[in-house]
Amino acid sequence: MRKHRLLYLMVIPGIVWFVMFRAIPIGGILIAFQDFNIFRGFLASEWVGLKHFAYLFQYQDFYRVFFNSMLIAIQDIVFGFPAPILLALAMNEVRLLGHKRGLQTILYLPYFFSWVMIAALFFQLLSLNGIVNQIIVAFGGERTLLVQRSWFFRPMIIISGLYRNSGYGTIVYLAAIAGIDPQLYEAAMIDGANRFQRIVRITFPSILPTAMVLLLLRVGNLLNFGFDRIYNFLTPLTYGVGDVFDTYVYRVGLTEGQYSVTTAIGLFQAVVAFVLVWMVNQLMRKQGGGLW
Amino acid sequence: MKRQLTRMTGLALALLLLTAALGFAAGTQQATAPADGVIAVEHWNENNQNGIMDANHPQSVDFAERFGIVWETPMVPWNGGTDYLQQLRLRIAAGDLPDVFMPWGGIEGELIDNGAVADLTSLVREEMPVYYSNVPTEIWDFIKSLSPDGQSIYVLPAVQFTPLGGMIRGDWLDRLGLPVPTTVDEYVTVLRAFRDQDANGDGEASNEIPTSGREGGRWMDHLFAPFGIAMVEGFPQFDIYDGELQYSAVQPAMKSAIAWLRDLYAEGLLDPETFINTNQVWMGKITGDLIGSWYHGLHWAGGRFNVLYNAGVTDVRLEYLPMLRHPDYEGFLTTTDYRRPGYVFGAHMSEEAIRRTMRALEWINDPATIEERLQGYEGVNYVIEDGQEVRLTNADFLALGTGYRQSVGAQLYSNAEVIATQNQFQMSLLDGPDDAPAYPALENVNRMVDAYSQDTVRSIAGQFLPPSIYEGYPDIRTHRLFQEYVARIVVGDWELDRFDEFVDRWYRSGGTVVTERAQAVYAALQ
Repeated sequence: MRKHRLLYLMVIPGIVWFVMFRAIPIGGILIAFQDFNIFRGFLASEWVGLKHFAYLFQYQDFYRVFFNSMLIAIQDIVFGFPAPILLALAMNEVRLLGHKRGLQTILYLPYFFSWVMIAALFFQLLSLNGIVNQIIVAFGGERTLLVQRSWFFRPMIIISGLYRNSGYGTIVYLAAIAGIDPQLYEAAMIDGANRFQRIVRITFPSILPTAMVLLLLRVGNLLNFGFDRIYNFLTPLTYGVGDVFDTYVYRVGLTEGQYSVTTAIGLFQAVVAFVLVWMVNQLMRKQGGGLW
Repeated sequence: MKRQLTRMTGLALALLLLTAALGFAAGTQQATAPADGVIAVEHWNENNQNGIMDANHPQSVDFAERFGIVWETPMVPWNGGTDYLQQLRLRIAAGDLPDVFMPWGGIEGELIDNGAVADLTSLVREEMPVYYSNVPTEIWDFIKSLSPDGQSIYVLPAVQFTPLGGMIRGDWLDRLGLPVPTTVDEYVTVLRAFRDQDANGDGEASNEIPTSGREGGRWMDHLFAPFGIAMVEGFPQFDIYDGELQYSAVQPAMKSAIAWLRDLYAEGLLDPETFINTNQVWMGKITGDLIGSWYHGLHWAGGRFNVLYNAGVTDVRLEYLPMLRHPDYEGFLTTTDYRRPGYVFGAHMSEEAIRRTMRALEWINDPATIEERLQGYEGVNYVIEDGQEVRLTNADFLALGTGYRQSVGAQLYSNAEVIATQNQFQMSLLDGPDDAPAYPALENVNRMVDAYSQDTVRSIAGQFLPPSIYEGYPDIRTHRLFQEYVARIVVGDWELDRFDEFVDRWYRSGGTVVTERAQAVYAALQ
């Protein structure tokens, strides 16, 4: 304790943050079981038991919102999870240090753009006079407004996610790759393994444990897809496919002031996330991994 | 060496924490402290103007002398009312309401029920006699119906003359030799001409957008009005259909309107980007000389006129687009005498603070003070150059970079006469018709507002419905379902017949209950 005094000191802000913004607000879950009145606060609000959960499951759009949330989240994992791994493997093969650095900067950059900017960028690219339509016209096609086609909504969300997050996601994998013993590669080279074989047989298996932990964390956040990521792309034309828990909670909870119903949704999301994390962890344990 | 390094890091960390702590402390300090006997009043309203107002603002200085209050208006982001409401809820949750503020999103019911706002019943008669008598009795009756005993006044209503109507570019019509359309068919003919010919005269025949609207199918009421649909700024309203109070969006006439819009869209007469146009994009297209006809506040059209003129369109002329006649429907333009709740006063305010604030509001809303108010303050509304008074437009004022807003806002009452007097006064400050674009812009606006006053404009039966009818059905209140269906049917994503599915879903997802509540309230008010 005394030896690492400074290290403990440095942990304090993190713990304070965790207690203030993660632990204490858990108490707020109580309002899911009340008819919460913002004027009276949650000590004086009326207790209503499971009323809001009952409402939720009767609400006809609930299943649509649930379905949309699940579908987008699963698609995002299917496409968004492997992307940084592939990118990291590819980047690791860039031998010229100058190129590698330049490439990393370019790939990391989009992560620092807000979703508002990225949505504006996509809307611009896909507008009637945008570059995408110009290409379509150049090839003899007809101008079309993809942003208002509901079938294009999910691909647009996934593609924009890949654009923004893939580069930054490589950081952890590149760190894991840097930790691989070079002797493994040398031995493989002596045995005559080519570049591709070295990637498949050495690099990939070495970063797999890291990938599994990240997958587990990602599944935990499955339904917490991120409000602004969807909201900035959403229009009434795409409500049907794009209305997810986060946008619903925003619309009903924050702007309409129905805090109890939306807290009930939050709790429901958390329960689903917990079950999913537990299931994935069980699966991993069978493979010899797992977090606990 | 290493030990020294750790000490240095520790010191740096401690300093960082200290700075952060001091930062928090400094943030809670009061920026301005009012002088003795003067009461600071924190005021929030629709914040479409940039800048704040504090004790040093010339108008606040005047108000401190006149009424003994400091009119403090902080910058509250508006964003269509959403951000404003969120900030207001935050303040409610913190138990720290602003003093006088505009309730938004139907929150006034909650505020009254929870005793968070002050009872103004006797105060408004005593301190705001002109305003009290100007507001029609039926609006006061409605305001009283919001109170628990049905007899008290908690809300000061905003009763404003708001000429919302269609406009069409007169200079485009001149160029093509066409008259202002008066029927649906004539309108389509004009739109086709806008589409096919070089109406804006820029040498390109393909960049004109005949007509347009905004996301959610908003701000295109001129296309719904011919079908007799009650609608305010794109939101369908309750009105009498088949002798009963009903939601206008679920009427057969709405299906016909959507069918027509769908045809316009397919023909390229309605902006293909209508349903994704944000306010900014839409405005940019109008002031970029690209849109031929649109729907908006006629009294706000001067701004568009000025921008177009300054961009080189010196022959710009806006014509009032009359309510288009339809052979099968009795159309009308929707208006409401009661616009929205104007102000409530926090229950924490002292009676003296409320009285003083009310005196200020009375002064702001008394038609007799128009000229004095419009004359304004030096450094805000005008500057003196070489002994001459030079008026400052809002853009001029913002360019001064004071960080202040130009006007106190807070307008609760206006009628056609008030708007006309305002414009007359503003014209009298200018150097006659050659003072372009300001003078011709005001003249143009006056002409359109006059034409609007002669048109088929009707107050709807559903204007006096309290927000409580939507309780438990937030998606009905926000017209979410309507917006989704109208957009997808019009752009051709869905068949027209899915409108019937919309009607069915609307009723099932709460529409039935909300309609019953609306009818009960309406019957009681009758």
